[in-house]
Amino acid sequence: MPRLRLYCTISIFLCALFSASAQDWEMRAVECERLIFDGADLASTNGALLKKAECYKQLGRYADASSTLERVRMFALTDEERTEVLYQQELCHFLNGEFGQAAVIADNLEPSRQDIMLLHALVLAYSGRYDESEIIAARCISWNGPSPYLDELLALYRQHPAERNAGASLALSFLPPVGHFYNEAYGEGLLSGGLNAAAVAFMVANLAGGYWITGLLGGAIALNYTYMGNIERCQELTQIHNNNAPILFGDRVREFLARALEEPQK
Amino acid sequence: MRRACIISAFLLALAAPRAGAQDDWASRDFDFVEYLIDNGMKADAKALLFRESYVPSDTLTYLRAWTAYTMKELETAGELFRAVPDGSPFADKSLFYSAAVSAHLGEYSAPVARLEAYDGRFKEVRDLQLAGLALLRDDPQAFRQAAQGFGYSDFALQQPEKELSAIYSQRYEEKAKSPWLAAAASAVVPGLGKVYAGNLGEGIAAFLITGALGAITAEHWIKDGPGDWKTIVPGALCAVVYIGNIYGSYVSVSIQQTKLKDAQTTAVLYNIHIPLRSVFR
Repeated sequence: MPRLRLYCTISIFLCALFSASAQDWEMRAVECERLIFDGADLASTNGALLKKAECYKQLGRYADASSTLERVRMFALTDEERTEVLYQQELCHFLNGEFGQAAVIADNLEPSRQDIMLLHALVLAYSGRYDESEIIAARCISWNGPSPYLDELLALYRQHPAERNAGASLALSFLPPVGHFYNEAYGEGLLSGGLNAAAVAFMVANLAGGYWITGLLGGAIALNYTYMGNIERCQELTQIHNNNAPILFGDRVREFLARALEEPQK
Repeated sequence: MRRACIISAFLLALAAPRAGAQDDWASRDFDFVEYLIDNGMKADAKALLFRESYVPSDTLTYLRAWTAYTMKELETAGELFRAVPDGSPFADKSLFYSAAVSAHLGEYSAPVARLEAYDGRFKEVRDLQLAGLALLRDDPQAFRQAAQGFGYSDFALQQPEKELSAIYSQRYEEKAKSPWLAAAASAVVPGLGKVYAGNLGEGIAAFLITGALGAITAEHWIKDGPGDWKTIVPGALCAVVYIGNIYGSYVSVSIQQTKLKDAQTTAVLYNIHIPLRSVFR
């Protein structure tokens, strides 16, 4: 019992000694940089850069971490080390929300490990490349043998959002409210259709009544707002959807993969 | 006894990373800090310099000020630049940078006294900054006095001196646009005042909308008579748009003048600030 107490005390002592605060991580990053500044050899420079990137990751400064990893001299690394650096770079871009840049690295990094596959699957899902993401996600969850989650995964990817065609959206927006319906904004579409119909009715009623100037000019002013506004709004809706849908779907993929990997058996 | 020793060691371990002794000289890390800042690692430079292990010195104060300045933490930078003592090798640079930082923070009068008291070898830089601060304070007399020191010969200062003189001429020697003239122009031809203010598109739009509403009113006046609601409604709308356009033209000139003044302020701040990088390379 006294020995146990001694071990506990020593453990707490060591924890206190080595527990690192944010300031410590910052200082460690600076010391790594100092090593490079002082003219370290190639291997030590690469080692310092990797350690520095790790410090930035601990601080949540993923952009700094990825720019530090970009400074690593890849030609001096083994294949395994290069894979690790690229993986870390992809991870930092992903954590920083730079999915496009992460996907570029994913294209150049062979998914040779389960953690790389997991990252690739997420990056590609968030980038809107669902088919590729699905294949890699399936391989990832089946890493240790057939997974009971495979059917669920296929069902999930069948629900992936389709990218809306900006050209089609523009063409359909010339027929209010069809453009809005294409963008699944039904209430807004009905309102837009109603306003455009009212503007046309105002125009036609005046022309039929012989009020040519009122019909043409008043109608033109009203339609300038309702019709042109409808076209602009449809384009905006398409852009919002195309930006947001992959992120929402990516969140679902992330939740699913976390569950599938945490509980391999249902 | 043993327990006391263990607790002491534990507390020592906790305290060790936080209470470093002040035994480092910032001058030893001068090159390293410059390397960090020049390579965009400003946060690292800040982490290094703002810990407590450095012996207080003017080099440390200057390096902290410079790091804060490069990180655009202007209030901290201003305070630290002002704290660099006069005898320091960084005193001149700190004085001019503190004046530029103060100007960016909207403190136009505070740096003047310090600059006027300066009698070092960068007198033309001092005059440039005093002239810029005079323009920012809207004080043409002070500008003329400071501009007497412009040599128009130093490569780094020649262009800023010319630009400050041009701003002075534009502001105090050229006739400004009149809001009343813009309003009168819009009363004669709707939208003309906005064109005069420099907003061609807005002027054309105002002309078309007022004209269309006027034409609609005229059509109903002829067909239905002046007392009919079909005449009164577009007529009232036309009157509101017409009067609103006159007022809008008046305001447009004021807005344009404010925008011009803002652009001039930005240009002055740029011209009293950027040359310092060439002078104190």
